[in-house]
Amino acid sequence: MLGLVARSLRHYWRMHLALLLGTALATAVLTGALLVGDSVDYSLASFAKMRLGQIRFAVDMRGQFYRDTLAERLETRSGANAEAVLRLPGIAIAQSAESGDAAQVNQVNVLGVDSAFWKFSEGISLELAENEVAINEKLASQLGIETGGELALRIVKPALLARDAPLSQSEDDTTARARCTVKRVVADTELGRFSLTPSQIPPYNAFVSRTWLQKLAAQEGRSNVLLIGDGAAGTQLEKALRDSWEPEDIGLEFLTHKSGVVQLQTNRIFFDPEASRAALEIPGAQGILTYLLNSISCGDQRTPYSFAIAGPAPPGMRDDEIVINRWVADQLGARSGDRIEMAYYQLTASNAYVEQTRAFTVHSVVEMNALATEKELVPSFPGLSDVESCADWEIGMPLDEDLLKDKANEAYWKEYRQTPKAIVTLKAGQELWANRFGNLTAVRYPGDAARVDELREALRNGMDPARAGLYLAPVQERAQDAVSNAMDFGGLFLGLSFFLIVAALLLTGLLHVFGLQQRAREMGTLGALGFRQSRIRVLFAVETFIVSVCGACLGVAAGSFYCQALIYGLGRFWQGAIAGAAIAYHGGAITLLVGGLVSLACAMITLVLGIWRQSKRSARELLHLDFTQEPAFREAKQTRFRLGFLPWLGLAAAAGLVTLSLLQKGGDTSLAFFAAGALLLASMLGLFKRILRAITSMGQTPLSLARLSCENLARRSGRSLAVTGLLSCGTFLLFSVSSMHVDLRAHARDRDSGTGGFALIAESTFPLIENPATTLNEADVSGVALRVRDGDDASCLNLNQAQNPRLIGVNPKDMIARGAFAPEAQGKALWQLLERPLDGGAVPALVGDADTAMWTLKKNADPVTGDRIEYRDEFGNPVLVQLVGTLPMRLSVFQGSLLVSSDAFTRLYPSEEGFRRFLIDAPDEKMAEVQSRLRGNYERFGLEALPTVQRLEDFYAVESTYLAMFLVLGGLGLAVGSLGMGVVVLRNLFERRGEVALLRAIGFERGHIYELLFIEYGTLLAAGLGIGAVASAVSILPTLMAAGTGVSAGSILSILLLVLVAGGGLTTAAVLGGVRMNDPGALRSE
Amino acid sequence: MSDQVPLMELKRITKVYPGAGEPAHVLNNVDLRVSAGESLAIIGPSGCGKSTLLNIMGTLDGPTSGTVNFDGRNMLTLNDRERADFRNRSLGFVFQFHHLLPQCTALENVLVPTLVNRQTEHARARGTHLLDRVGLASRMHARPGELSGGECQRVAVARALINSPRLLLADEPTGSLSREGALDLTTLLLELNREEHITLVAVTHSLEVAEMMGSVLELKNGALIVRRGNAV
Repeated sequence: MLGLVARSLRHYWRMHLALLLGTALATAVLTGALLVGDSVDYSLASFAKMRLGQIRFAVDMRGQFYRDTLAERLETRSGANAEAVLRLPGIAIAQSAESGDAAQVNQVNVLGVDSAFWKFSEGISLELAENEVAINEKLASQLGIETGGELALRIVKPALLARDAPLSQSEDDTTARARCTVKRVVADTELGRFSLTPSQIPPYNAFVSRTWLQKLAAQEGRSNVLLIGDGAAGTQLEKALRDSWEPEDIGLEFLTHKSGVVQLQTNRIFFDPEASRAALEIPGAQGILTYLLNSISCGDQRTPYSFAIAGPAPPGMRDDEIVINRWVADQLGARSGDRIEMAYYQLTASNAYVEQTRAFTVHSVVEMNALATEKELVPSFPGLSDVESCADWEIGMPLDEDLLKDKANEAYWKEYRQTPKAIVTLKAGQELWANRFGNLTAVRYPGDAARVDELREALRNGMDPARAGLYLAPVQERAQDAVSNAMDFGGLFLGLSFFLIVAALLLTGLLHVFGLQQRAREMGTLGALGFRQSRIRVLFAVETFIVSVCGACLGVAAGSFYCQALIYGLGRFWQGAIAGAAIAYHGGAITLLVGGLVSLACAMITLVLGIWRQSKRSARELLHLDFTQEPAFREAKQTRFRLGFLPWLGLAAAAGLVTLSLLQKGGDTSLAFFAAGALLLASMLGLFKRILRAITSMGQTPLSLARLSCENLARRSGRSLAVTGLLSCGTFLLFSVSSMHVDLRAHARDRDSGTGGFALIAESTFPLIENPATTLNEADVSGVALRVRDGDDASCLNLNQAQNPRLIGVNPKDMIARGAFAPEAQGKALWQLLERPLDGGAVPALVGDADTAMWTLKKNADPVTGDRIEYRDEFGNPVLVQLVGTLPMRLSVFQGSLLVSSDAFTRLYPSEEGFRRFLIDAPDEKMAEVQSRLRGNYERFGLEALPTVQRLEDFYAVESTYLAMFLVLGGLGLAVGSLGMGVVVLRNLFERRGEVALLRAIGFERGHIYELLFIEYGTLLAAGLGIGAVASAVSILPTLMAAGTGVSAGSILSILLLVLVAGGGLTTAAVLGGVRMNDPGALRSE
Repeated sequence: MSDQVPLMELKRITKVYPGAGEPAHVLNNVDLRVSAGESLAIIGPSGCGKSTLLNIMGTLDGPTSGTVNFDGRNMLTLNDRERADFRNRSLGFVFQFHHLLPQCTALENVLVPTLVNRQTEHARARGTHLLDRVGLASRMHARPGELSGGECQRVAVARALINSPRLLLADEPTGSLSREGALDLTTLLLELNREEHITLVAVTHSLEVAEMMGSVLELKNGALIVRRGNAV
């Protein structure tokens, strides 16, 4: 039997070669697609390794700081390499060596490290002195400088408390600048890509001496990132951190006072919740809240700018009573029992200070000497405590210059400094002055210096360092998670290549069926000779299997080259798809095996089906089979009887879907229309099949060449349908996909578009306290300022899976007032979702756009059942953010981010000072001017403004690239489909060579025969094209209906041309070749 | 040899097929004169070149050398279009296999040659008449799949006669039929030869069929030998 197989393989080598090539093509495409996935995964893993080196855990305090010495203590306790790093946002400016122009790069990570940092990498040791910098390759390339070059670094000088906090220091210049010499350009493999955020896009990194950066930033001895390498497991590290941290590490300190008071205070003015909780739990604790009042008045008497203290009130004093000091009592002429009113500022989430008033009854008057303790224990406020005159106060609250010059108050300041003028109960004080930064400024305990150690230990034991910002994040593990859950490029390319794979398999199947038909008599002979049906099937299947295995092996090898070609394409033409990342080829053995086996299985299923179908017939039938006729007319007739209603049902369903979608107001109906188009396509193909069958009963119409052609189509309706189906599916997919190109500029100024109708989007490297749009003093220029908490980029520009997307704090009222980002009817309800209280204290969030929700986060966003994502607040406490909705457009300037209310934002991240993102309204004609002025005015803050539509286009580049890739791969599929059509034509002509020769014999000129055949195959081509075009017209209706659509006549014409050239060209070649090969000898040989 | 102007005259026809080894000389200086209205059988063993000779007569193939005249006109000077027109108007072909279009009825198959110069009502009437003449009046609307081999061959004969050709070339017309069927078809062809005044040239390997014809020639070693009658 194997001998027979071997002989058959040899004898029918042409047929087998065709099968082998078909299988190899399908395998190559499938394996290549999977290998692209492997290569992207491998590259992302390499990037993650480069990004983190041997760093396993990290504490990222961002806006807070800890003492460097904590790293040493942790290293000693845990045995793991621990390194303190000060990371600050910065701007780098250099004169390009090439062009001589000054180049400025914003969003630079300025990293203060010492030589131990480089232990996390391999093969690099680097000691950086003052004014020396090591920059990564990306920054070097962007600035156009090399080792030895000079650059200027500007960093923001971090404040211990956010600059928008009450009583924080107000400074004119919050940045520092220094010139540096580039000591080394750090390669990507030497931690040049260091970042704690999973992304394949390298950051701009500038490494400087940590101590030098601390000095520059006025944060001596403090860092905000703690990196830990190998040497200890997570739980061991947590324990080591718990054992080694000290309250002083995070700015808490104990002061003793001779009056027998130990005061715990923080260098951040306000206590964070964890410190507050733990401190108050220590027995004897007395919470203190100090605040600056705008005024205290009694009747028409008033004293401005007075410190008040909440907490140390006389026993039994009610919350509506107040103690005033003697000086105030004298100034206001107030006595016990009098009503006095205090005015104070309340800080809103949008950073506005709103003056509030509250009346109290004077409980008592305290003498000035009784307040000596208070005077000495009032926390020191930078910009206030250390100035001689009220006029010199520099604090983050609006102060009236005239009132600051109040002579009596000035005299009070000189004599009593911050001595409180009034005392209220802690409860009353917290009701009035608590803000997002805290509700305590100190905690007092009875005792003296001897008690400090005990109190410190009690505090240390009572506090969870993770909840005080010292949260150990398993960054290496997260990086691996982000990579393993990264965008599935294998799946993507498989999807993009699907049509090509199907076309290759169909072509292989067609070739095989033709080969089998050629060998039908052989099958029949074997049957006549006594071979059982099953044995004949095995015989043919073994033959096919051997060929398919060879094809799959060849395909696997070719797949590797195909993958490399795709990677080349990704690097050269489709960079947008991978956001410019350099993907390296990586072929995993398992992937190759899977690709080969899956393709082999698909090919075998396709081929064995053909064998099974043909071998079902009896030997007699096989010996006399006429393949110029439809072989299964009777069975087909029965099927038609049973399933004849399906095309009509499909048409009705398509019509229903279209109607429903048209009636639906708002929402994305594109998927429904695509489904309707696909249904229409299937239905029309079903009807085409019926038409082909109906042609056989056209006997009443006069005989003509056209009728002859039509009848020829009907003779092999299966083949005709296969060809039409392939062409129509290809046309449908290509048309539909090409129409998905969106013209983003068409609706860019609509409020309900992805730009929100804003003209510009601006981003600053350093936070701004003010809204830059308002500083331009233009009546028609305004803007919305947004708070930003950096996180993972969940836009399609990040191939890694985003776990904690960037959070943007937005004031819903601003958006509602402008009607931005949603149709008027839905906008209010949508934005109000951000203010809705949720179970368990979850924070409501809107996903930046529908694409982010669906593709990158893959989360459900719903007011009730929305998914929840765990975040850590500023202090390390777990916080659930619930996705309550999505901005109702596919693409917006917020892509990759989650939007939370500014209230929630500042509650979670009070230290994230100011605003770093701005949406600016400006008339079109002023856009360029505003852009230029903003850039000029805020150059020091690294502010970049660009048209919102440009930002959308940056995001859209990814989708646009996918579409381009699909069009190329789909076009290839169509070419293979056209090749299939050519094969069918050739095969048909081969089978009909006697008929063609006869026509020639009876006087038909070649032209007549060409006419006959072109009508025949032109009908198939036209039907394929027509059915595909009509179905795709339905699928792209939403795009067509929208004004200013992106449906490009050029792209549609290109596709039409492609189909006509590929299908028409190959058909013509097959017809010409087929007719020429028909000689008179064909009339004799059957 | 007839004194009349021959309907078809082949002079010194040579046909050589180049091969891998020595070229095959199928026809060597063959001369043949076919007079109008006569019936002629060409016999010979398989592969001797009978069909090649018939194809050359029918302008389906060209000779390596020699001339082919029809009604005094040199067929070898005609271009492709003129040859096709000639075949359509002046020749009828019947082959061993009927080559009917399976998708067309018997009548439609008969009418296929008329498509070259567009179908007319006259042609339809003639088609019906011819089918009646070949004994298939009742099977006019049957498709080839519904006809027997002999019936199909009769349809092929009717098709060959639809344009009233002057010369009917039959290549093994009875080769796929039973003996009875073969004799019936030959009788029919000869009747039509007489009734329609059509010259009949048939290539056959059946001596029984050949004997029914007016003249019999044998093709042997590339040359024609007169077995009976007055051709050549």
